[in-house]
Amino acid sequence: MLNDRDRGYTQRGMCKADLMRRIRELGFAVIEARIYLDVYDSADASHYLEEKSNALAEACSIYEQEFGPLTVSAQASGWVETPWPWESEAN
Amino acid sequence: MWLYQKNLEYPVKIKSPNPAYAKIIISQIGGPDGEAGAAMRYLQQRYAMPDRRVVGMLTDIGTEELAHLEIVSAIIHQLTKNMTEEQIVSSGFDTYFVDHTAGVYPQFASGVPFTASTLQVTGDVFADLNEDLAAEQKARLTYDNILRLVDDPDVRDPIKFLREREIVHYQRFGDAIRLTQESFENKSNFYAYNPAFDR
Repeated sequence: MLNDRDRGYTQRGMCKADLMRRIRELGFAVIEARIYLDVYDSADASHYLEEKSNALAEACSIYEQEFGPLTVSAQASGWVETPWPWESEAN
Repeated sequence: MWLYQKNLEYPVKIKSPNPAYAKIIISQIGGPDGEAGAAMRYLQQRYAMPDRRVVGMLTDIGTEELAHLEIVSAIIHQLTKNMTEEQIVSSGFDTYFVDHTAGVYPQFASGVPFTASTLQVTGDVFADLNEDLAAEQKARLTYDNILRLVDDPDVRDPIKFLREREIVHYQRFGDAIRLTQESFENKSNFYAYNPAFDR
């Protein structure tokens, strides 16, 4: 689910760096919650993971529409043209 | 299989090239406690693990270690991009440069190439998980040693993130040992045999 900040990005035509930051934050939350849930049974953590992974999927989808693909399955063009993650300009 | 996502787990944006830093930080790519060994260790330990929860953890932490390999590689790439010949010689990076130029080769800081002899896959759950706990601490102390030697905040910031992840992984592997012990609690002295092989 999109939060107000993500909706703001779509309405404003958004800032690429801010949206990538949001994707990293959500991606990190998903990784951390997933590792925790591997060994702990927690309804709170499950709910947290679901919320963050939905928000991540939507943020990635907005990013891909505006700025180019993040995964090989993305419809957007530019897989080889957009900066690679280790390049300074991608960060 | 794996699906690649085209962004770093944590950003790296270094303004000043510094091959002297690259010379030491490269150990966290292919060194004795580096990220290449970490990913290889956890992903390859999965197959003989008797506890499904621990297999999940090794899959997810092993995958995160691949992302960390890419973060450290980004640090080396940016530290060595646009370095001058004078910097290469005065930093002592010349012995690396002669073989690898500004490529990112998996090796120890001392120059020894990455080797699987820095890790084990014993096929024994307690032996492997105890190795994993040690591995996280060794990686954490290596990052601490890097932080003792590096002043640039652009470099320190992602190194601090990576250091924190070693601590979290250590905690999760501690959970994994405890859960595995509990699952064997009706068996006598399960440290005296291999619970994944001996029946």
